[in-house]
Amino acid sequence: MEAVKKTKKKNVKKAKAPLVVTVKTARGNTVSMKQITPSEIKALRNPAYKYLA
Amino acid sequence: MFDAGYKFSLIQQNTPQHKDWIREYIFQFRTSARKRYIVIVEEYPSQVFVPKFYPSSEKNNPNRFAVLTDEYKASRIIRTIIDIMLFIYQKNSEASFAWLGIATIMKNKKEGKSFTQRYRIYKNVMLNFFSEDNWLHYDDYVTSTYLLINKSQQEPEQFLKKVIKMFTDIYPELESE
Repeated sequence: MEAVKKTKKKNVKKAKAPLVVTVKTARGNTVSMKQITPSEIKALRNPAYKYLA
Repeated sequence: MFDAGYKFSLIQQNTPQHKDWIREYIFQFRTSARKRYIVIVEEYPSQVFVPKFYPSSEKNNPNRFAVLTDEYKASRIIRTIIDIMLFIYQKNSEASFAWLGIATIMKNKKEGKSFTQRYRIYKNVMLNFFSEDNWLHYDDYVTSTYLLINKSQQEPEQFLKKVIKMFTDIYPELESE
């Protein structure tokens, strides 16, 4: 029996999400958005709720 | 709280001309026989969806997204909006969402645009129903804005910069002074 040739799964590394994203706007101002960190999520989450997505 | 929403229906899907969003989906639901709500979900480029809603009785009010109805049904109404977001996500597996917790405007009350009541409630809801395994949560309390980014994005930083730039180009009022 011919052996099934295993193809090595390519490990595509995703880029890391930044903690803060800052963008310079067309009018020269800067706008920043901050990632809500796992510790902040833990503090704000009610364990009685189940994730829907 | 937030256990069940109202039954909703998609009543219209438009491709508007001369607007910054590429498509809009109009849903409706009823909280009672007489009270109807309209939900508009705007689809922007890169599969970014923005849900907005108002009671249909306020359709001619320029502040229709900012009123309080005193119906005391907020949790079921908000859960319905989540169900609509999930409906959109089912049909667009790479969908991301953005929203603004608009400042309340009433006859005797005008809220500031930072850290609004809506922003505080919606943020809590997002964190409780959208898992960090599948979503990146970003916010800016100064402008009461929130981005729920789908983790399917391979380059989240580039994607975020593109989305923030797009929204600040369209809505200059999102720039904090």
